[in-house]
Amino acid sequence: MLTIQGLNRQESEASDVPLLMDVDLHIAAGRCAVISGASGAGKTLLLRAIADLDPNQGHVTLNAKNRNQMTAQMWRKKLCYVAAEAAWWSEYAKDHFDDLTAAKEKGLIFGLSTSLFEQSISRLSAGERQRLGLARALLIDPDVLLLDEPTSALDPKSTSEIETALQAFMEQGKVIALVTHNEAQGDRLGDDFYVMDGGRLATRERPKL
Amino acid sequence: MSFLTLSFSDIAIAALLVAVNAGLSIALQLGIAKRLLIAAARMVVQLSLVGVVLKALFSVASPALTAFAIVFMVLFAGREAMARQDRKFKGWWSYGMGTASMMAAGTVVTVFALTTQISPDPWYDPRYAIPIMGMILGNTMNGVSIGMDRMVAGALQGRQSIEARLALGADINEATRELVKAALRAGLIPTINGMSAAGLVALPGMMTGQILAGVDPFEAVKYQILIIFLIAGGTGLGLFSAVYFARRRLTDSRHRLRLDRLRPL
Repeated sequence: MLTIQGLNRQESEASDVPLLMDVDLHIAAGRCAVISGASGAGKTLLLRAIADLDPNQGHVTLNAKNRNQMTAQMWRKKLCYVAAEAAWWSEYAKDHFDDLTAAKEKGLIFGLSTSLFEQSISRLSAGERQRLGLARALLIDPDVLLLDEPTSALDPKSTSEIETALQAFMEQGKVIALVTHNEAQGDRLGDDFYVMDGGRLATRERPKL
Repeated sequence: MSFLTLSFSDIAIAALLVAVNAGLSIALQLGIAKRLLIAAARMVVQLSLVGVVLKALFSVASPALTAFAIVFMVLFAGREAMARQDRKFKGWWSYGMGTASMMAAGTVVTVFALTTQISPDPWYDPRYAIPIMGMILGNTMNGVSIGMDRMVAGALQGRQSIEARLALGADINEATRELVKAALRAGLIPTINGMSAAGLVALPGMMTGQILAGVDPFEAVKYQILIIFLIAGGTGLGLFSAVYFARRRLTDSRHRLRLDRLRPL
């Protein structure tokens, strides 16, 4: 279970301009919190702060263990942030995976052919890259997925494959924080609903579709 | 040792060439005649002052004054190295990191050369210490500014891929390894190119100066080789130090990329 209390983030070390204000969020085991809100409201910043990718203050625990008791690397392996657009550091898809066999197996679940791993990243479609990015995150076996618009570049079939994989992830008692503009997807995956506005997070009712 | 001394009228005649350049610039409306003339005038004033200062320093040979002159040179080199960077760190960090790296590298290499190879008496004799430190600083400054510039530009450009690795649990050394390598390579390339082309494309300035001053060419070559080795050593040390300093400042103890520590454009 993921618990966040009084999370704050300022624009920079020397600035008082708040970007995230007193965010409280509690996601129980096996549940998905859906976070919506206008562009620029701070949704991505919140996911990044939970993953400790930007300086922030607040009490953040995973299964009652405080993030300060863990190295940053260990924390991020347990709470994996997946950006809306996956980034790459090497030319070929295969270079981004330590265990290529496992990667290919995971890729098959998401409808990715095994030959795709031999290709240059620049030749892959936006949808293939997005699925590969998600497979890459699942392969490190995190306890929490922090997903930023995970299916924005995908067709309905691929979206459904991803959602099935995410359901299976939660069935293991794992947790998802999902930022999405797609209300139908929020309804299919979500258990708890929040809205972000001007750096503040508030609970909301399940949207009526 | 004999050499032909220059009179002021000799220098004035050479200055005609700059005047010709300025004339061309005016004729072609390049709009740089004024800048060219100001730069030429600055050069004359600066070098004349240096001549006066060096003459005074050499005559007293005081360790304190020599050290003072060297600190002064380093502070200027730091300012110059910082001015060449497109994106700077907030506060004094860019200046501080560049200056500290050049100070350390220049001092280590100059003292090493003076105490083991050139061995003047006393070892800090300003006649040797100041020109050697000057040559090392001039080149180290290039390496340091290129290395730091490349480091910052690379972090800005590669931010997403660095953070993608961090998000997957990589440590900051792993995530920035390629960036550090690219910055070190870029900073060292001018030194390598300079060594490869030495003597073939152009005769190095110091060697030419010694030959014109009547030194036996082979002796001048030996000095030049020594100086090039010292320059390579100084550039390498200064560059490593500056790039690692910059990496430290661009990251933090929680293995985050800290681009917020750069000044906004």
